[in-house]
This record gives sequence, C-alpha cells and structure tokens, in this order.
Amino acid sequence: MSVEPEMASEPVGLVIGTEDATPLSFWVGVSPDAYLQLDDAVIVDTEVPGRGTVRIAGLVQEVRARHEGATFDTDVFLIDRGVLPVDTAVAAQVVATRFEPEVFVPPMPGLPALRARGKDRDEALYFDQMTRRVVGGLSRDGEPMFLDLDFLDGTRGAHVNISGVSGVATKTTYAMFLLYALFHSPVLGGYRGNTKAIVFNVKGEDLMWLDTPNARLTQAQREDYERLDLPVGPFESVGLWAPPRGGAGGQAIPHVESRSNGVTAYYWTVREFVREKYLRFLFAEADDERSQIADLVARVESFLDRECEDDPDHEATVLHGGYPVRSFDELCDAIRANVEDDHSPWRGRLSDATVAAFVRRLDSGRFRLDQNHLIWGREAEDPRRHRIDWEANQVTVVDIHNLHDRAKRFVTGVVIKRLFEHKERMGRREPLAFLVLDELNRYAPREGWSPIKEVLLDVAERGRSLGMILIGAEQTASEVERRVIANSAFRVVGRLDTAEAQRSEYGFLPAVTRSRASILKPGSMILQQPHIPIPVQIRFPFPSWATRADEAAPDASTDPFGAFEGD
Amino acid sequence: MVVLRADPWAPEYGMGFQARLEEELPVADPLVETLDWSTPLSPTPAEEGPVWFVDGVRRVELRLLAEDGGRRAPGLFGSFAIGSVCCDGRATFDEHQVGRAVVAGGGVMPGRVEVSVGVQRVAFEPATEPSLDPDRPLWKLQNLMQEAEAAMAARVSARAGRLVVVDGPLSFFHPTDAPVVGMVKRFSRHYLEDGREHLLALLGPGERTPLFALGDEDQPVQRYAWYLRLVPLRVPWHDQAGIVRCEVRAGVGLDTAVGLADRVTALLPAYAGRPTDPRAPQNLAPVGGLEAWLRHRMGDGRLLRRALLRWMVEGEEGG
Repeated sequence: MSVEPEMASEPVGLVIGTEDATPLSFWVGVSPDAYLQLDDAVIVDTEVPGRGTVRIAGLVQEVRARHEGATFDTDVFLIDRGVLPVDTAVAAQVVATRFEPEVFVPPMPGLPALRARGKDRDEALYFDQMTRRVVGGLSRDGEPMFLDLDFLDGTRGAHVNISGVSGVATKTTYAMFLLYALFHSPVLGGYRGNTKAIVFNVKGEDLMWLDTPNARLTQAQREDYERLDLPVGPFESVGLWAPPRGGAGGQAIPHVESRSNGVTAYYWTVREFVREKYLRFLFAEADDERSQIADLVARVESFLDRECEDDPDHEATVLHGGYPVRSFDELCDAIRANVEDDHSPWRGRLSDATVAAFVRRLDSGRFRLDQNHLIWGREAEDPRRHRIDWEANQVTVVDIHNLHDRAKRFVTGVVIKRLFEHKERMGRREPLAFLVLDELNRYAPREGWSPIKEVLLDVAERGRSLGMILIGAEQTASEVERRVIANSAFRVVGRLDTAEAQRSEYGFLPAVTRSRASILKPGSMILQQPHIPIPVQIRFPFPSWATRADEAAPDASTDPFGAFEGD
Repeated sequence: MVVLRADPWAPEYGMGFQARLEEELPVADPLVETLDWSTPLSPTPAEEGPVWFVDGVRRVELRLLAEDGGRRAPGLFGSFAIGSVCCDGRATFDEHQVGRAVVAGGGVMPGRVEVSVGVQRVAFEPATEPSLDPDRPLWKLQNLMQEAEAAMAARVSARAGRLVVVDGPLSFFHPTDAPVVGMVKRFSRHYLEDGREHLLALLGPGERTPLFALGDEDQPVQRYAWYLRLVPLRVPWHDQAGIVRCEVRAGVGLDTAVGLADRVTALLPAYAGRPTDPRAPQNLAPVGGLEAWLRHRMGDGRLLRRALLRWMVEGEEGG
C-alpha cells in the first residue's frame, strides 16, 4: 500500500552541530524553503553502531531566526540598505518524545530532520499506542489530537483538571467539548448510551442551551468538526435543571432568565433532608472548630433520622415526636430546640460554645436555603418530578449561578454525594459518570476542611475505580487541594495569569510553554497527557451547541420570518 | 605648536596613513583629466544599479622549514578564500572559492599534501619561490590569492555592464580592459606634490580629486587613479583619514575612467565601513561582511594545524 503524498513525512532541515544535540533536546537548522512551527512533530533517524537505526521523534519547542554575520544591533539597518551581506539562519529546538527502539542517544549533527506526517506523526505523539482514543482538539497545524481513553476512564488513570483565567481561558467550553467528543463518537462503545455527565452551571446561563444547535457556526468551524470526525450539532440528550423561583406557590417554576421551556426546577424535600443526611452540607464552610461542630452535625443527623417518622399525609415531610414537621423552617426550629435543651441527648457533652456556634451556622444556612427555596415541605406538589434525575438524560445541567454561595455549596455537595453513593452501590466502573465542576478552589480549597472537599477528595482518589470522573476547573490551581490536582491524569491550561504561571503547580509546563500560556487565545489550550512527555498546544472547535440565547438556532415554527418563505 | 590628530584605525592594523615600501608604480602624472587642482570634484549622485565587491582573505596555517638534500628554505602551509558580494538593494554573497597552498622558498618545490580533517580531505597545492627571504612564502601566498581575486573580478565584470570594486590595488594578473575598480584602503605612498596633495584635506564625502595617471618609465600611463572621501571628517582625525585611492586600468580609456570615477565616488560613501570595524571607514561594510564570511569558509585553523602535524607524525612513522 502506498502512502498518500500529503501523509508522507517531508524533509525540513538538518540537525545542527553548533548547539549541543542531546538525547532529550536538539536543534534543527531549517532549510530556506521549509518551515517548522511550535509543536510540529519531527523525526530523525540516527545510526547507532551495533544497534541499527534509532528513530528519535520529538516536538518543536522553540524556533529562532537570526542574521549570521551581523555582529551589532545596528547591522540590521545596513542589511536593510543592502550594504552588509549576511545569511539568515532559522533553527528549531526539538524536545524528544520517543525513541524507537529505546536507545537514548542524541541525533548526529548533519542528519536530515523530517516533519512527521501520517503514521510517523501518530508514532511521535504515541497515538499508535492508544487503543481507544478520543479527540481532544486540533493541533496547531490542524491535525486531530487524541487523548488516551485508558487514562480517562479509570483503566490506567482518570480525571481532567483545567486551569485558566476566567473569561478568556474557555475552561468550561473545553470541558463540554471533551464530553461532546466522548458522547458523539464511538469511543465509549456499548456503554455510550448509559454514560452520564453532571455539569454545574456556575456562571451566566451559558450551559442552558446545550440542547440547541448553534446558529452562528461558520463553514470553517463546521469543517473543524469534520476533521475530528464528529457530527455538528447540539448535545443529543440534555436535562436542564434550575433552582425554583420564589413566590410561585406549590408549583416550582425554574428561575431562568434566558429561556422559558425545557428547564425543570429542582428542590429537595424535608424528608429527603432528614433521611439522606444533608444537614452537613449546610455547614459546608471550612473553619477551625470543625471537629467539634462536625461531631454535633453528625449526631443531629443521626438523631433526626432515627426519631423522625414518615409523614403519612405528605410525601415531602416527616413527623417528629408525633407532630408533623411541615416545612424546612419547622425542621430547623426542631433541631435548634433539641440541641439547646441541656437534657437532650442530641447535644451530648458538647460545650455551650460549640452549640452556639452550631446554631449560628444553622441559622445562616437556613436563611440562604430558604432564600433560594431549596428545601420544600407540605407546599410541594409532585416533589419526585423536581428531584434532580441524572439517569433521565446523558448530560444533566444543574444551574447554580443564581444561588448564594452557601446554597451553591449545599447543592453541589448534595448532588456529588448522591452521585458518589450511587456509583459506590453499583460497584463497577462502567458505565462512567462524569462530573464537570468549575471553581474547584471554592469547593476543594487548599486550606481548611469542608464536607464538599471531603466528597471531592473521595471522587479524586476513589473515583477512578468507581468510574466517576471529575473534570474540574479553576482559575488558579495554586488554590486547589493538591491531591485533587495530583490525581488528574490530564492537565489542561488555558490563558494563565503571568504570575500564576510561575507557581510550582505548573511545573509540568516548560519555561517557553509558560510564557505561551499567558498569550493563549480563547479556544486554545495547552494539554498535558500521560503518554506525551511535554505539553502540547491545541485548539478546539467553536461549540456547535448554542451558548447564548442569540446563538440558539430559530426553528421553523418560531421563526418570525418563516411565514414569508415561499412568497 | 604641534597639532596632534588621530587615525581612526585600530592600532593593531597599523595606520590608514602609512607610507609603505611596496612595489608601486613610481611615476604619476596629475594633469590627465584637468589642470585645475584647486577644488574637489563632486559628481552627481550615482545611477542605481548593482555593484559587486570582490575581496580575499588569507591565513598561514603552519610555518615550515623545507629541507631538500641539505638545502633549507623557509615555507608555509597557507589557505586563502576569495569571494564577491552583490549589492543591488540587497547585499548577497555571490560566488566564492577556497585555495590552499604549501609554499617553500629557495626554489624548493614541495609535493602536494593531502590531509584528513574530520570526514573531509583537504589538499594543499605546491608552490615555490626562488628567494630565501623568510617573508617571501607569505608574499607568494598573497600573490596566489590576488591572482584568483583578479580572475574572479574579471569573470564577474565580464558579464556586461557590471561595476566591480576590488578591495586592494589592481594586480598585474589578468590585465583585462574590464571596468574593474581597485580600491586601496591604505595611504601608502605620496603620488602628488604637496601643492596638489593639499586638495585631499578639502575633500568632502562623495567628492574626489581629479584623475592622475600612474605608470613607470617605460609606460607612463598604466592606470588612472583618484582619491575620494567616504565619510565626513571628524574633529579628532587627521585630514587624510577616511580617504581611499581608487584606480582603473588605463586600457578602459580616459572617458570611461572619468565616468567610473564619478560613479564610484558618488556610490562608495553609502558603503562606508561600520564604525565598529577596526579599519573603519575605509574597510567598506560589504567587504567587512565578506571577509568574515570568507574567513569562516577557510575552515577552523586549529583543526587544520592539528591535521597537518598529525600528517607529519604519520609520515615519519610510515616512512
């Protein structure tokens, strides 16, 4: 079988001998009629006495051009005037990624270097060793870049961590692109249908349009999808959930500004709160007195569960001491009364100060949950319909952007815990469950302890074997719990603040790449994956799903001009 | 009071102004173009068009003492490189050529020497000089270089309408009638009487003296020469700094010579040497660039020296 011409590697220059060639890094003099750009894959075959040919593959890390023969900065003006003759030299630094066979020798100066194409490129980037691969974007020269699913689904590793400045780093968009690629390609095989994702919408209503095609996609952007072998369109199966709007009576109306249909309001009932032990997520703030208060929270949770009976009159409420607890307020009052009672077994032998601190936090948490109508009592009509159901759709978006900080922690804590327990009960990895969570620094901060951080650490450390995959994002990785990041097989970086890029959390980025991270455009990321020893810049296609109301494609029925067609 | 004025060249290159004992044409006739030596001539700005600069560099690799049946003579291994730069809006290196010679004095003719440097084979062609003067082998190497330089200048200028400026005086080799201009950086001999030499101090950049003829007793008009100034005179300098002497062969005819003199005089200030050059401003910028490039093309002197010594050791062991 012959190789297609454009798929054959082409000579671009020679290994130079004026810079040291080492096994890990060497320079290639670029021929005047060729070019090499950052991240290009390059191969050099070098003869090793007694071992035959060793193929060294690598990626271009730096390219430089200079005048040879010019000694002083002002020479450039003479050169421009045609007075001083010089040669122009272009050289590219290649960082080796692979030796085949593994003999770690430098390439000999003078050997031809080729830009790797087709099969050679796949080998340079280890794509040939990825038995199951999912597209992760496009390389700078427009070729597909792949991720090894083995390192994403828990077989050999799991989790993705994305860092970058808010607004320009397009962290969430990239996370959604990864999900799109997973769910709309055959890579997941038979489990594709049952693989689920829960996505928290933390900013704006960007993710509330995942189910709608993007009407503003240009032809060039469509072609990107073609190159990646992905369909162009919205997510096929999406469930949208938003917190309820206030003052709507027993009907829970979703609190969403940009769209009026297709979104379900979510809340939990007093009975769920008691039975599933959600109280701890009201106390989801990192603080010093945690051991004492956490102890009391655990006691109260277990007493509540033990002493409350199901209310026979309503599925959302419970009876405590024979009296119905009709609302979340009444529940909080009951808790308060019991812990403040010196003779109640609920408080045990904890000091008054601890109880006071507990009550203070309970009151403020209760105020916030009430404000956002997250726990319903007897007013709830059909509460089952409003319980977030991630089994119903492939992608479940939970909108929390309108919620107060404390309520956000409550919702994320409860949802992640439920999902985690669900996966624990299933006891096997497949089908996978993905969890997309931005602002990780808020939920798993480096300093302090909180119930959500504990759940997230569980996910990071045990999620790999349970098939629960965290795609976490944050503005600054330096503020996120180390173990959450350390457990991520894939590290992705969008535009980084220059000072942040210097921190040790980004030690995997070589110095040149760090500088590049501070000029990345939206839609470009730097991807580090276990197979490839150096991070590679990629770009990913513009979302083919709408991210704003004005991108949502008007369908024929609602198009105000539709009626005029055919005139 | 004694007035002290500086010479712009770096001291290790001697002095731009230095009367030197060299074979130069002794007879000068200052009246070939005009009788009026009172004011400088300022040609109008030069027409556009390519100009070629030709130059060569040489290096002694190893000095020798050659022995031939009891006769001992000084000698050397030497390399030279010649090349050209084309300036036509852009300055680009044109053809170049590297030569190597093993030279012995006293009429001793050495054999051809071929040594290995890395993966390359390098050959030194034999040459000899009758004199036993220790400086003569170097003089011979210089001659070999100039010969090649003159051939290259003739070759380049043979392509019609090309203005070629050779660095250094015109040699006696390849006496063609081609419009090749020799440019002498060093002021090595007084050709003019004091009354006329006074005009040199008055030259501004891009201005020249009238042409004067150079020759010997038998043939008094062999070349036409003139002085021109490259850059404005600066205060610390003596008034003959920044001046070069150019010459063309008389064979081109007086009219052509005047035309060439005007064109070259207007042209050269644009190519004046960089202030950072140790022989600024007389060492023109393209020539400075070319010299560095050519020196590089001769290869690494340390490697050649080592290869030659090894060749001698191996010859000793083998023989």
